Amino acid sequence: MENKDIYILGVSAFYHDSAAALIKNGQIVSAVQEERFSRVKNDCSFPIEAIKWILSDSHLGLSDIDHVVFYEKPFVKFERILATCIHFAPKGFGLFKKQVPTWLKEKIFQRKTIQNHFQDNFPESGWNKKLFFSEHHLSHCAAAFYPSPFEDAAILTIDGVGERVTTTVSIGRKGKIERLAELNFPHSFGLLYSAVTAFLGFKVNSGEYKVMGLAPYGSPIYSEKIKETLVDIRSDGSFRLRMKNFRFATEMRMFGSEFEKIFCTSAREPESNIEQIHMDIAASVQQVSDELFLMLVSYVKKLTKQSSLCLGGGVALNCASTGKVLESKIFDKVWVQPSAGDAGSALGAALAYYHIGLGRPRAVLKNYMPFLGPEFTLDQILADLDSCKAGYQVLSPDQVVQRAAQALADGKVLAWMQGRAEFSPRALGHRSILADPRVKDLKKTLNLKIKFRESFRPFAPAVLEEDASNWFDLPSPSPLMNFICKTRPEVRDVVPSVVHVDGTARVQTVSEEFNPDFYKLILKFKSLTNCPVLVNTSLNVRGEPMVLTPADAYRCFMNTRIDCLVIGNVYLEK
Amino acid sequence: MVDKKEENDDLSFLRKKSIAMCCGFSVLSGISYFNNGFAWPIFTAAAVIIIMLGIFYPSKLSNFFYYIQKLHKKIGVVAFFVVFVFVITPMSWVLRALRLDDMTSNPSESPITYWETENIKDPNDIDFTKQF
Ligand SMILES: [Fe+2]
Repeated sequence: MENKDIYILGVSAFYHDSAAALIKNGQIVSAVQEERFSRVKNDCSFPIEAIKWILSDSHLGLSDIDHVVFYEKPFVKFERILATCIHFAPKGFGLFKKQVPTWLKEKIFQRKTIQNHFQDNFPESGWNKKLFFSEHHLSHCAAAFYPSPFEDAAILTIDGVGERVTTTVSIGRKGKIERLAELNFPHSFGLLYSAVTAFLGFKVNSGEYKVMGLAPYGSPIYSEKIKETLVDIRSDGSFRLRMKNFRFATEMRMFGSEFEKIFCTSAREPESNIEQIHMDIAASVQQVSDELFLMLVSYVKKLTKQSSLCLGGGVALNCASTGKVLESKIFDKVWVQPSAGDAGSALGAALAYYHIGLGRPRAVLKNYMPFLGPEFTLDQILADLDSCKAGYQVLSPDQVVQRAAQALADGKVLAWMQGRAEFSPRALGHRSILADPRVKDLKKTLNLKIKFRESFRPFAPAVLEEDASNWFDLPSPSPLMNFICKTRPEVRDVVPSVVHVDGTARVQTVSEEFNPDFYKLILKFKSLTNCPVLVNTSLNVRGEPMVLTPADAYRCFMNTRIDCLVIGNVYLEK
Repeated sequence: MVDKKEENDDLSFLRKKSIAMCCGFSVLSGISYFNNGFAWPIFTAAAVIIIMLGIFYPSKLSNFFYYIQKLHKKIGVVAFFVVFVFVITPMSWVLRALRLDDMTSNPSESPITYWETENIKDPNDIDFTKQF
């Protein structure tokens, strides 16, 4: 019998962070977020450009795809919206009049909408129209478990809300996932964190990082009040929100006027001054998050008796809390899907369908790195730069590393674009802005003159894996930048730019095996400066997605005060 | 070239709308006539005017349809309000009275866990072909 390859395309769309991912016989081939192409941050539109790239990258047509899998079940989501309207009536007309018509007009026909997108964009494709639907948290579980290095593991997923579920505890064994416990809407820690994010004047679904970055500047003086008035947490980590203080279930906003009484201040206007009270509120919700994570993880351990833990869902991107989980040693090993939000669910949906829907066995991955997006050949890079009328030098690989490391050692800020783009909200050395962490006022310069973002936002260190333990208190390597840990006291003054106000850092460990180009650069920098650490932040400016193409990188380079740009072996200097 | 195409698309959209509206008025006219109503000549005249404008001067209808659309939105909100007040709200009371509403909005007084472990859908039994 002929052994035909099975291609599965996973798709997430229509809420936020739409993305597409391709697997071939269960092996992850490529994945990318639509925002990288459309240049619209957190783009939620159907990921057609992402799909087009994925197919062309693998030299496939749509007719070669055996199964297309959507990341959630639309009818269950609609049922939850109706159930919410019914439950909270006579309150909730605001939500009803906004959500229900949109669903009745468009969203309820998602199968047709998706099919139309494919047919309109690939009219000659001969697509088999096999469209499948995973379940939202199963997609999160699958994205967290299948790419992990564990044969068996406990899985904890936490997000805002999927169809109805907000938190799940499962066990992954070989190719199967068994769910043991769950919490349902409206009781969602993701939505509580988002409500506080909105109260602090940041955007829901993208400003949560800012709250996390702001937290170390404050004191958690409101954490007890949050537990008394906003969320009731039981000793086993299960919780319920006190819904009378929230509005997301009845209106098109997150919090009620009660928040102002609880925090004794009015909601912060976006872009207005950040005061001590805002930092204290951020610190308080972050402390509740840390406590909740530890309680949840203890419960997961008790329930599953596993030694390894996989974390998924958007809340798992809270690396301060995941850092506490790692530090607690409740589980021997912890792995967090780097694209833990809904974008990663495109990959999760495809993997869930392959292993559960088709019942195919799973081969454990030794080390998943999310370098799954587009890369560019020298010809493509030069063509892009020529079209921008850029001046550049083409160097040998060794020369480019030498020049870049020297520039960094001279205190210059360098944009570094190598290989395939990250399928992750974090730059891991393929689309990064790099700098010397020993420079004192670098944090301010980078934030205000290059990233054009709030001055309190911290920067992450990338460190050679073999040197990591001398600089950071990290129990195990962290190649995916998923955990915040303490910086060793003796080096805090050496690398001030990557140490947050509370002495912590969100570390990326870089090894030769899994990130060779970036490793060579840091190694060279170390040979010049004796410092194996670089500042690593994503190559973008505020409000924009990470750059994708050489032309994007060049535009970012020219519109900011970045000193040098390296794309592959091409070197540009201002 | 693109502008020309867009203009043609707009005109064909307006023509389609005028046909739809003409059909609507014709139906109303028919209903009125068979119910011995007095308004059928008005509906018939409206249908004829709309279709004539749609065929010969579709661009003259763009403002008219804009206001119709606005009115339509307002009517939509009123219709949804009626549904919310007369269907959703009573349904909510009935379900609550019969204890059939399984959604919770407040913490419980009893010292129980909030974890739901019963009746969980096994991911291995999920039907991927279904949207529910
Ligand atoms: Fe989610």
